[in-house]
Amino acid sequence: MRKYIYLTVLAVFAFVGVASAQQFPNVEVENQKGATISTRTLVDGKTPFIVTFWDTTCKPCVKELDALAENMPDWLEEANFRVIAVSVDDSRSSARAKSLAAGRGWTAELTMLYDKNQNFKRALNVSLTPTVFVFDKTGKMVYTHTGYTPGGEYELFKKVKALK
Amino acid sequence: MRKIIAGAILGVLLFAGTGHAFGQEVKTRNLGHLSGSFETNTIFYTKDKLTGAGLPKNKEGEEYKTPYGSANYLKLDYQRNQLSAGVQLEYYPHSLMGLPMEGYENELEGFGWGNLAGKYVAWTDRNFSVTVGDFYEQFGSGLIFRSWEDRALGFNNSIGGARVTFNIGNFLQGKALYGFPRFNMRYLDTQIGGGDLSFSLANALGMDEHVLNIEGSAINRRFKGVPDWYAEDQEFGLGLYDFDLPKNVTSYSARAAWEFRGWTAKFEYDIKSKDIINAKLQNGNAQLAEAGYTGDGFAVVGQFRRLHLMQSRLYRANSNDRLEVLPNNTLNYIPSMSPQHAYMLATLEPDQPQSPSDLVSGEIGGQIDAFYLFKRGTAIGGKRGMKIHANYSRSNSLNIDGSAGAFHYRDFSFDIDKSWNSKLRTQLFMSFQKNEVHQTTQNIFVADVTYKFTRTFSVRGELQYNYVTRDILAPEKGDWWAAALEVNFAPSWSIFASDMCNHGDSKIHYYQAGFSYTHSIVRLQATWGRNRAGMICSGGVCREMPAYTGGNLAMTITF
Repeated sequence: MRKYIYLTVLAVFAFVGVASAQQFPNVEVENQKGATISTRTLVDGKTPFIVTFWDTTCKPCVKELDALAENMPDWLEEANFRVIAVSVDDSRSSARAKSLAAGRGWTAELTMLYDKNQNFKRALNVSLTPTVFVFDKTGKMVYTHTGYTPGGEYELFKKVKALK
Repeated sequence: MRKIIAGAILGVLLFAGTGHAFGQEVKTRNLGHLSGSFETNTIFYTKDKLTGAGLPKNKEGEEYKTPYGSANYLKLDYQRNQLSAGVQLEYYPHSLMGLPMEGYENELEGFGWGNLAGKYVAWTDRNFSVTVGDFYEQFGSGLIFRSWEDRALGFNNSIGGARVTFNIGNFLQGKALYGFPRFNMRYLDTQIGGGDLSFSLANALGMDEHVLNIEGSAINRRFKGVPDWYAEDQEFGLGLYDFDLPKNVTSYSARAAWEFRGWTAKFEYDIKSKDIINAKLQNGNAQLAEAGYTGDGFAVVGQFRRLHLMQSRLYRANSNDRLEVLPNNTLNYIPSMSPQHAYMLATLEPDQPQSPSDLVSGEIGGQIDAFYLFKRGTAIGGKRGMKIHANYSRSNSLNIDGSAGAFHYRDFSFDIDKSWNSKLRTQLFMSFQKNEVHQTTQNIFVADVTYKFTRTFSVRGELQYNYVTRDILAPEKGDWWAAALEVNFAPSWSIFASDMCNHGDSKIHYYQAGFSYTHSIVRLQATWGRNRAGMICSGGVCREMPAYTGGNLAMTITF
């Protein structure tokens, strides 16, 4: 019996490995301008990208995005990639999320998206914020991490740089 | 036979696995992608004489021999091109105290088909999608309809049924749905049907720089399963009613949204047909307006909202020949407008939207947020910039005739966030809250300091004080202080301890200590502490939680 369990686990993981743009979740979110876009358009086939889920009441999330926005100009000299910050604030605070992003100077460095009923969050199986993913240029997930502690951003950059 | 089936499934999976292993050769074969997550939130309870915290009880009202509560979620999603399918399995061997709500905890227990709480198959094409099974949806801001999940509150009102969405060109989007709302581990008999249309005038006219949408929705709630005793003079909740219950309650929403180069203006008008509210049949309506500007390093946005009898509760016939309003379920989303704070002392008396009563029909209020970034290299910004934010929120109750009534809630908050150099960062936060729920006035001051010793080793400390100038009905009177310390080793470890103390009449220390560890796809957190009874709020929904003392183990796995 144990053999079956191990084999199943093995097979499932092999199965999980197959991913491409076609497998990237296809849900609709709002961008900073207020227009609706499909999440599948994030996979451009050219650059890897980081997707991080945040909300206005999550202090570590705000710190993580501050750190990413602050480091982006330097990092982009070493590697070509994008950071997509997805707010999961609902209608109580989605307007605040948009203002907060602009008012902290993130919009110049990061791509901001708004997932008001958490469809994208659910599609990527996010339980807590902040949860961050690194995807390669084809949309295959190569790294995920939940929670943020100061300095955690270097680990992300290391992972994305390795995809060059 | 079972072995043959298991073998066949394994064979298929292994074939899939082999396909991947030799991915280069079988490039054309697309086997799809499986992803998922597992989450557990388990609390071990102990008695605490100081707070009166007790132990969880079974259906018979007896304390469990092993006093714990546990909520567990396993979610799996499969996607292959346009096809997706998934399940969410939930298991509550014992429920967490206070969730989904005091008195309803045991409804979640047991194991059966109801534990397969989410299951769906969906086809998403370029211009349309079809979903069959359990799904979540929101029309507009959610004031007439929102179905969502909030695990922190034990809340889930997903719809089991079918949904179709479509696009015509880039200017028209539509949705239609039909189904039954979830209540704890089952579906209600109530039928939900509705539709939503969004027309982009800007796209239709080729105004590329603008977003200009005209939108409308309708949602109908049909009360099915009317019992035989449904007639005149039946008890409804606490009151008697002597009229026919409306079988159909319909809400409509009309919206307009415009955005242009950072400028934004939105308006929403909602109406709701006759529904039982506070044992009377009454119509409802709501107005929501938003205007603001967001630029690079600067933003100001204001919102106004008026709510008149907009509650859309779900009810069912219970075994005692009564129609019961389900306390833990709703079909729409009516959050408070004020910001939800994260610091301990700023959440003691949270803002809760007004519930209708004989005198009050809702609330009228607004809020304004302003953000500003003093950029690097400026006189105030210094080497690393400085960020400031202010918010003012206020609401009054709405009288039953629709006019503005008595003061309800006010909060003025302000925060400054400054990085002095690559090591030191300080945040100051102030919030001045006046709340009529317990007739309190609180003035909260917080200093939050982070110091990075190395690139990945940092320490964070918080000091908080709540200067209370009015505490007429507050459960614990007088001032409060709190302190927290956190030691972080990025990216994996965090160790933390905090204490919050009322130094007015109760003198109780609400302490917490624990750690979290993250590695690869797993995050583990263990905490021991004493928790105060009171409202916990997430988004717009608040729950009255009992006091509890004990250990909490939380784990998430995402893959």
